[in-house]
Amino acid sequence: MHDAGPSRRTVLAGLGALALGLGAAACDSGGGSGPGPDQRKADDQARVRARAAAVALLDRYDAVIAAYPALAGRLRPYSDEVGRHLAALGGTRPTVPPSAPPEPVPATEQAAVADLAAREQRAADDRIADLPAVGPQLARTIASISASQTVHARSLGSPS
Amino acid sequence: MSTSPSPSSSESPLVRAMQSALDAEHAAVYGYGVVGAKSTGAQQTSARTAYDAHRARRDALAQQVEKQGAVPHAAAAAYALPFPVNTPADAGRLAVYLEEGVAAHLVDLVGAASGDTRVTAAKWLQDAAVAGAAWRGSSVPFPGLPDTPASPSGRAS
Repeated sequence: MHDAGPSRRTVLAGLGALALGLGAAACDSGGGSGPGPDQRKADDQARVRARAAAVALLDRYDAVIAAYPALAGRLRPYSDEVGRHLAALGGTRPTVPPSAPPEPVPATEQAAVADLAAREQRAADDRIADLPAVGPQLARTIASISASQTVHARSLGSPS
Repeated sequence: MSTSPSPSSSESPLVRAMQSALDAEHAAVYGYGVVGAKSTGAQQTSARTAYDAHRARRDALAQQVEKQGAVPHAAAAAYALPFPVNTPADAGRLAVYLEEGVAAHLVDLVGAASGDTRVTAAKWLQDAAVAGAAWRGSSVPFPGLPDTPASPSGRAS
């Protein structure tokens, strides 16, 4: 789904007098062609968890922005990226509202942002935990999503 | 190919990915020397921190390659910069370029590796993404991957 194209792969080749030997490594390795049933099951389970985490984050961003509209400008870029993650995982947001009652939004803007940061970090950690079980292609996607979530957590965790 | 990726002493896909990431880190260490030289103040401090981080990762990758029974690639004698770097702003752009390049190689390593090595590469990718976002001043949705507008399997909206 997110196969590294030549532009990003060779980005450092321009820096090097070395022939960096790019392009061969990940995509041809370890048979993305034919995962076995166990692998496919592990991938499906990890994908389901990653989608659920993305949906939960999106719900949370919406709840915080609804409570504190002044935060919209700061938070929307991150929530948009979470939406991109969900799409890359083949997921969509459910149109029906979640059945469980939403957790209350913290009582101050600052606390609400800190709470979002903590949730992004937990999601990032959970994605890492799923990495050993999944196939190479999904591992690339999930690792990248985890890195993005870490960026969100760090950015939200430091003063704007 | 369908067997478990037990690495041999020859250049298996895993070792190739490690060597490529190592090449990228060699280039980043060189590049951050330039970033630091063209930076001032707090940016120079950030450049030094990044320089140290990439040196540490370079050494860790060299160790990984050695553990696979291969000889780690050495740094190049010289590197060509992707664009002229004369001002602190240029230096900041070079830092973004370096972090993005390293991130792309770390994603490759995540795909090629398994188990703890894969997890380590993914944590390095997190660090590169955080550094890249700090230098860029903004985030990207898929660090290390091409920023494709929508996934084919995405069924967006």
